[in-house]
Formats: sequence, structure tokens, C-alpha cells
Amino acid sequence: MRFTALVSGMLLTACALAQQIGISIERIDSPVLTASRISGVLRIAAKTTLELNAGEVSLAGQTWRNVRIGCPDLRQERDQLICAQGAIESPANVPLSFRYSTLTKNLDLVLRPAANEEWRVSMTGTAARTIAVDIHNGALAHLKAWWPAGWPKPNAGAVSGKVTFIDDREAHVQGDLTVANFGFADASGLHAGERINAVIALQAQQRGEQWRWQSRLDWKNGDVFWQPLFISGSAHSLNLTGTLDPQRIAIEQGRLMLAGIADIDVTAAYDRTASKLTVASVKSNDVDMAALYTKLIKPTSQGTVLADLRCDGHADFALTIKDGEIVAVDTVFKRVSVEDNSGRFALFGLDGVLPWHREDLRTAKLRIAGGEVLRVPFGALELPFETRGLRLRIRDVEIPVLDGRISIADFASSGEGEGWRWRFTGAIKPISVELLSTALGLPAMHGTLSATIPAVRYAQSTLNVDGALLFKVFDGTITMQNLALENPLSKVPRLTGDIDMRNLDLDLVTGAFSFGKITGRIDAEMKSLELVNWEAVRFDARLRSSAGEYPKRISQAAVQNISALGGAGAAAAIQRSFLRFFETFGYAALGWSCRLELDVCDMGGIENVPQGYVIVKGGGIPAITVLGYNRKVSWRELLARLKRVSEGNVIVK
Amino acid sequence: MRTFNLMRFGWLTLLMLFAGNLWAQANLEINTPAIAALQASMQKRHTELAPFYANGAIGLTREGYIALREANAVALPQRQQVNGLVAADNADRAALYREIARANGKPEWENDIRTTFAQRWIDKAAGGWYFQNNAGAWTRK
Repeated sequence: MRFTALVSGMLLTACALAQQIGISIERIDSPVLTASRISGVLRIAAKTTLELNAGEVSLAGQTWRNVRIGCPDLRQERDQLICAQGAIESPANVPLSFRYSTLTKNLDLVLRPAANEEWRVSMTGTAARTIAVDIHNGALAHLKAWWPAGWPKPNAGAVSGKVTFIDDREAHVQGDLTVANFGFADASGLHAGERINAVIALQAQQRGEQWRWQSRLDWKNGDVFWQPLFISGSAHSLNLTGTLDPQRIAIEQGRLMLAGIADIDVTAAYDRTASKLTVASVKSNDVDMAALYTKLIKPTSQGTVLADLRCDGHADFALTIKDGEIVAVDTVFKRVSVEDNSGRFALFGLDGVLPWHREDLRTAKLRIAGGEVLRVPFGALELPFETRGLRLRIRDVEIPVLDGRISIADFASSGEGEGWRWRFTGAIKPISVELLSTALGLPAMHGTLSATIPAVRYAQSTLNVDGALLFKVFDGTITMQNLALENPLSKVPRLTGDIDMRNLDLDLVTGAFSFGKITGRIDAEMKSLELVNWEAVRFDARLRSSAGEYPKRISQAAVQNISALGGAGAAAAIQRSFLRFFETFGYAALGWSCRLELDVCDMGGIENVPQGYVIVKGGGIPAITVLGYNRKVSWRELLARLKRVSEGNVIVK
Repeated sequence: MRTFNLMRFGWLTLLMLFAGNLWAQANLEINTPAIAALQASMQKRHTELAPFYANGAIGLTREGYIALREANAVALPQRQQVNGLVAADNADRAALYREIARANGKPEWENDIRTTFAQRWIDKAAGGWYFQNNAGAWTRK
């Protein structure tokens, strides 16, 4: 492209008497500047004045109407026209000076929009015109008009440096700019930057219709919030090489170096006519997971399960975009560990490739060296899986847990339609309850936990377990059925289900919970159990001595504790009678029921008597009968008493 | 006098039945462990949110939630944190309305309870806070 100033019509009318020259120019065209309907008056007197009006002026795509420039003192020195103290008077008042050579056509124009701010444009050369713009403290807000539509607009900062445009046979642009205290924001405030100091170098050469360009941005410091990411710090850099033509912008080679986080390689092509990212690839290798988490993920994860983790290891990421949408993401994990600092979960030594494609099937295998859930450790496992779009399948997984295993088969997950849903079938192969209760920080219990689970389903924020979980503990069995967990990730997860306990050895139960020793066996059922935030809010519970012949003894401590649960009084009665001399008593049966609703436990025993109900029915020698007098008790109060009772026993022990 | 009272009681009962206003009997002060946990969580978060109510960065919506209405009023490094606080508070609010409806034994009242709370939050708001009026426009109290 040649620099041409096309004067399509020019009329000079001289009026010698008035010493006034009228100027009329139809149109001026150049690569960056066009002006039309120019008219002006040159008045020659003691001081020569020039007034110019342009109906329309366009500069690099931006147009102004009715532009007026005035020069109150235009001087001529040899071939030079000099205006030392002119101004653009409309559309804004900007002081201006220029020097123009009628011989060489060189122009030196200076704009000073504010004190200590200067934009100097010089046009030199004949065969190859050179336009240079020297900027000193140029306010970036002036550039708002040229900012691409849809981008956050600049609102602060200054630019200094030089941009040169050489209009040779093949045009050439070079720029070296320093940006100070730059700020930008969109109307929503969700994309904004502040106090940014950076150095930008740009070079571009024209080849026919296409420009080849290279740019480098050195980020000295500043903050950027691009929801949900916040990037701060210093010494980041961005190097880009690419092409520009009327149809598209291409980044052939790009590297974003986020100091201390990751080096990211980028290629992309943007269709200018369709305003669409046609293709892009973003890759980063050996990303330090600790830095990635601390600097990018943690600040965006407040209030989620990812809010407070310890991460280490490395990972490679590769992302492919086509026609504006992400079509593939491949992640390679290299000894990655993730640990929740509050001890809810941990994953150690994650290795393998996690491929994903929007349409195509991908199969892979991840290996995990071990981990923890609620402080219960699990061992090494392999996850062989298939992904296709929003579908994920895992055939069979064996997870070693303590001395047993959890097997998961046919895990299938889908994110299509109404949110995520998944299902699997599974089994728990005997796990020692002693090891499990110790790991969970519960009193040590004896027995095993095993289960066959026909299906676990998750949909619409609810997890349902079909089938039964079977615990073999305290020499009896505990069965859990109809288990459902609503909103498991919310602050108030709600668990519902039915629990049935058979033939539990009370010796083992009371030993585990420091309640005072009872010998015997019980059956218990808890129907319609509802736990909210892991606290019971509703159930219908019934507890009764198991059928069959077995020794039945109850210790004085247990009698006192049972009595204490019903309120003060009964325990003192024992102390006043001869019964205090016996350590244990015989009983025929014991039983208790509680129907809990709205914090009220409606209690009963094995049978009713005029004063209340029987909790322990005497039998053998010496026999003791414990009665309950209150039918209704606040559940919270009852729990507080139970806590005092069990804590009291621990201290006595 | 006695007849008058009875009549008045009868009229009131009829009115309530026919106005379909029975849900208004919901006990909004009902307490359960879930409600207590949610209120405690919201109370704790409120100290962090208070300055942003005061400077207009966040406001009360007419649907009983809160929204980041003027992100530019929040310092840049804190902006995502405030976004997170707003999301967490809204999750608690949604759970609170659901739990109050359930505790009343009427899960289907959830929406009515939410609307009633929306007005309550706005009535209780301090001067200078922003809320959405019935037309959805932000208004300063």
C-alpha cells in the first residue's frame, strides 16, 4: 500500500484586497487518515491566521464531524509553514502546533491535551513515507474510541513510547511502548485491571494483503480480575507471533509465562467476518500443582470443598477449541496429591492420562496410590474408564479399605439434561469395625461390616442406596435399608432410612460406649430415621431384649445411668436402700421406645404401669425394676444427659 | 357479646379458608438443628458481608436472595471472594426456606416462605442498603 494523499478537488480563491485566501478541499485520503468537505480561510495581516473546518475526519476507523482547527499566528520561514500556538477547537479543545514543509511535504504536528502530555506525529520521506507517533504520558482513556467493541474500556493510565509506520513498497510498523498505572473495567466490574505497569514491543510487516506481526508484553506488576480468576504479581510475559488479514487474525506461536505458575503455549485463529474463534490450542506442561492451586484455584474456591487444600505434583494440560467451543481436554497427572487441610479427604500419588473429547470415545486408566475419606485410609487402586462428551463409565474398581475392600462395578455418570446423575452397583467385603471405628475416632467396636448393594443412584441432588447395608457388629447384625441422602454437598445434608438391629451383645455395646455394664442381648429398630446435618430430627425407635435364653445382669452404674436419663430421683432411691450393696442385679427384660418429632421424644417401655412405664423389668436375685415416669422429654435435653452420663463414666474409670 | 365473638371467629376462619391464605399460619420462627446451623452460618458470614451491603456492592433481591450489583465497588483482589460469599449466602438462604417449609410439615410452602422472607430482609435492612423493588429496580433504602 502506498501512502497517497488524494486531493480530489481543491479550490483556492485569492482575494488580494482583503488579503484573504479561501481554501476548499473535497477529500484527503491516506491509509490512516481521511478528511472530507474541508474548507478554510487564510487571513494575511500583521499576523497570518488560519482557520480550517472539516465536515468529517476519520482516523483509524473512528470518525468525527465538524472538526475545527485554528492557528492564530501562522508564520512562513523559507519552505516551512509554522504554527506554534494553534488548537483543535472542536470537538474538543486541544492545543496544537505544527511545522509543514511545502518543499518536502514533511509535517511535524504536536498535540498537548494536558500538562505534561504530548502526542507528536511526524510525517517524513517522499518515496517511502514514514509516520512516527511519539507519545509522552499519553492518557490511555483517549484511546477508548479505538477499543474493540465488547472489550472492557480503559479508565486510567498513561502510555509513553514511539510507534513508527513506514509506507514503503511493503509497509512496516514498529512500536515500543511503556504503559504506566493502566486500568480497565467493563460495566459489570467482572473484568477489570488496576495499576498495571508493562512494556509492549510490536513489529508488523505487510506482505500483499497480509500483515505478519510479532509482539512481546512484559508485565512488571498490576492486578487483573477476569472472573473467576485474579492474577497479580510481577514478571509475567506474553510473546505472540502471527498474521492479520481482512478475514482473520492468527496466532501462530504464543507463549504466556505466568511467573511461578505455568508457561502456556497458545495457537489460535479468529475469523474477523464471523467474529468467532475458529480454532485454538492451549497447552501447558509440567504445571506445578501447588502453585496452580495457591495462585489460581484457591482464590476462586471459597466456600467450596476445594477452599483449603494442600496440593503437590505436576500436570500437563492441553485444550482444543473449535468454532468457539471446547472440543477436547487432555490432562496428564504426574504424582499429584490433594489433601483437604481439615481432614475430610485426601488423594495421594495420582498418575495417568485423563482424556476427554466432546464427541469421540476416549479410554484411559488412572492410578491412585492411596488416600483417605473422613480419616479412613484406602489403598492403591486403578480406575479404568471411558469418556464421551458428558458421559463417564468405569467398569470395575476394587478399593482396599483397611483390612477389607469396597468394589464398585458399572459406574456410569452423565451430565446431560438436568444436572449430573450417576449410578453403580457395589459390595463391601468384610471390613473390621474395630479398625473402622478407631479410624473414625469413635469408641472401639468389634465385628465386621459387609454389604451387597444392588444400586447406588445419584440424581437431582439425591443419593439413593437400593438394597441393604449389613453390619455384623457386637456379635449381632445391623441392617440399613431405604437409605437416601439429599443435598450431600450442602450445609444441611438430609439422610433418611430404616435401621434394624438384631441380637446385639449388650456386654460389648455398653463396654464400647462406657454406659455401665449390662449383660444380655437386644433387638432394636429405628424406622423413618431422618438426620439433618448428621443430627437426628425424626425417628420411631424401639429397643427390646432379644428372644431366647441368655444371662441377664445389669450393673448398678447402668441402672443409675438409665434412671438419670429419666431425670433425677431414681438413682438416689437406690443409694438410700439396701440395693446399694449389690454391684449387679438380675432382670427379666428391658425395653425402651422413643418417637422423636420436633425435638420431643415421646417415650415408652416394655409395659405400662400406673406411675409410668417399665424400662427394666426385674427377675432373678437380687432383682431390680427401673421405671420411667416422664413420657415426653426434649431430645436435646436427653442427648445432653446421655453425654454427661457417658463422660461421667469415663472419668470414674 | 359471646355470640359476636363466635361470629367473628367464624368469619375469620372462613376468610382464611377462602383466601387460600392458610400458609400464612406457617411458623417462621420454628427452630430445628438444620435451621439453627443455617442461621449460624449466615450470621457468621454477615460480618464479612456487612461492609458490602453498606457500600452498595451487594443488595437484597426481591426473590429473597442477595446479588453482587456493583462489583466495581469491591477492591479487585477481593472481588472473587465477595462473589463466593454471595454464592454461599444464597445457598444457605435457599436451604433455609426449604428447611422452614419442611419443619412446618409443608414443603410446598417453600416459595411463599421465600417471598415472605424477601420482604422481611428488606424491612430489616439498614438505611443506605440497596434492595430490588417490586419492578426489580435497585433502590437505596
